[in-house]
Amino acid sequence: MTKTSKLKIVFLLSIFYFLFFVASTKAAEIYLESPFSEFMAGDRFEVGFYINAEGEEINALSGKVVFPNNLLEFKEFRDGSGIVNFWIEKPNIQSDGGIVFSGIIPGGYNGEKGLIFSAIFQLKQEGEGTISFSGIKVLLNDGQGSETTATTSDFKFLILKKAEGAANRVFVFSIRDGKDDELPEDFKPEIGRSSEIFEGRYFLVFATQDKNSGIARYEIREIKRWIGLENLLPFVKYFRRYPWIIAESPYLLKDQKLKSYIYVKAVDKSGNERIAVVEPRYPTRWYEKSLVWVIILMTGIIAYLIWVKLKNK
Amino acid sequence: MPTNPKRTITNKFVAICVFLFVAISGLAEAEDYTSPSFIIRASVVSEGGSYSSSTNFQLQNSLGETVIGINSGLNFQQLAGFLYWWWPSTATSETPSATVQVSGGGGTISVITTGANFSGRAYPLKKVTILKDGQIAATTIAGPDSNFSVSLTGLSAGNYNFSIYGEDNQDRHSSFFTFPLLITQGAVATVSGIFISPIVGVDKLEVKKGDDIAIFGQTAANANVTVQVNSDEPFFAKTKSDKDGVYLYNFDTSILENGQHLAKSKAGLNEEASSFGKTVSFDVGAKNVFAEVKKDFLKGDLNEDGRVNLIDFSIAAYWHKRSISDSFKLLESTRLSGDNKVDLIDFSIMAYFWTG
Repeated sequence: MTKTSKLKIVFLLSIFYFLFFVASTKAAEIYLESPFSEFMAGDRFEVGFYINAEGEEINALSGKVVFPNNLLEFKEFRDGSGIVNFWIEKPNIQSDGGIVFSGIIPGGYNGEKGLIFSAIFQLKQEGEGTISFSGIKVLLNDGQGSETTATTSDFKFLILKKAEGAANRVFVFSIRDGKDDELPEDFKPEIGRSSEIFEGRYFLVFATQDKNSGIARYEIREIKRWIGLENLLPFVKYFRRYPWIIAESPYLLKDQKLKSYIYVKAVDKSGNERIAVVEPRYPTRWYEKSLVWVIILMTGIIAYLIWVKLKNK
Repeated sequence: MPTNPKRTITNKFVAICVFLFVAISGLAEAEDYTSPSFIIRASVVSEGGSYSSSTNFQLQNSLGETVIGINSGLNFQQLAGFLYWWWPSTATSETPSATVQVSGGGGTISVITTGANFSGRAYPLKKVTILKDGQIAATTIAGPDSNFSVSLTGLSAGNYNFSIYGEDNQDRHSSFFTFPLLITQGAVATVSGIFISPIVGVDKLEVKKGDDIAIFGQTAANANVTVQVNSDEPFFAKTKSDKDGVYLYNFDTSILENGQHLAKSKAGLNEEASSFGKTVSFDVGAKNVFAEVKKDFLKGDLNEDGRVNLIDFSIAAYWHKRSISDSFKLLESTRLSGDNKVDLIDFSIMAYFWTG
């Protein structure tokens, strides 16, 4: 066999290997995308972090976003229309300047363009830069947490010198039509108890989504009376003793006897609010209400006085 | 006769008290309300609830029945009082600006809705659960013909991840039927042709080579079931489910090598087919070991309530990146990955067995 023939065989085998092994290897792809790429110093822009599951079904992912701190300042993240239903670690900035995140998708995801979250950056100065990923982990929805390979691609951007007198611009895509008047999604908080956390005491879990700007915070109020009365009787001091407090899930309940109404308010980043109510599991019985005893006492006094009056006649 | 001043004061006090008592009691008077299908006697509607909302209205508190009747505006209609009752929407496929009647206690409002309809096949007379972004959005019971349909209304426009699963006659969960769905404002999306995968079980954990192993489970009624047993090469067998959706196939293991094997099944009916469901494993060896008839615990169920949901997620999240306690080690070893720590793998397992 000549040297040329050998080379031909090696070449053909290489193509065969590539077509049948390398090309068929599935790997989820994580990439960044933004409709904008050229900015001026002082602008704000939003970039989305997406996953293409490449036909596989994935249900958990984690990683870190790395960006040049001298050019960009991380302002906030948005996950309103994201595929991650529950964050183990909400995207948050670390001391080294990276943004770490991890979350799960119950039921799995197998689409081609799933938004993980988007981030809004403020541009500090002119220059060129790249936003990239590190330490990405993508796990399959197979009941064993098997890891699948993941490829990543970067996002390059260019910051131009700010024109004299030009105003700072904002480039965002996560809020439809630039306005958000939609409330967060309806949700149902649940009371839980486990010997493994909070020393076996009752706690409340809650989560919802806002498909536009995303959830900003949750507030909780535990109160034994219906808070609708507060609007009718704003002067009653009782209600002021139970103000809304900012809370996170899981929330250790103050009323461990579960006699209170629990109101959970989800507030989105545009200020729209949705309130969910958990009815008391063990509502106060009639004989535990002081008002009932006042009425009974009043009725007794009236009856007595009528009896005295009739007797004296 | 001189008037006793003490008695006069008493009389006035009694009169005031009686007046107040009667006046307050009078506020609680009620009357009967009727419709062609019901009557409510001596009803009292109090203001209550928190608030209802949609993209174009917000109802703070529910309305009392001070005035009953129909009030309407450009984009709302209030049917106040007990005279009106909830009635189901007429779902329309791909209909922009479809309307639906929604009501709360004592008040009904008609609004332009955004939502989704789901229909398909599950298991006869068994529960079907729809998860919206990992949380239970609706449950229903499939009919005797295995068909189910569910409507979700009042959704916001946006991307959703819906997952649907069925439960069989032993309360075991099927695998998820999952799909992302983009809901647009003022339109009702319709997803039909959903076919929940069959649930599969085996009667032996280990089967003596050459003996039969019973592969059984539940799917849609009168469906054609394909059972697949994986070995070096897959073996396929066909059977049919009965009117309750129950199927059984006795698989001859003489063609299998010794060692572990997996079985799974899929179903087909009237040109529609499910995907393969969850797998079940068994060993082929030298003896028969029968599977115990006991309800398995659910992986990921950390508070042992038979569900895997946000409560379990919160318990696991508490131990994330912490060294776990001895009591939690036991739980982690049986219900999670068993590697004595809580990391992404454990959350992935939990997401797979999620029930909402």
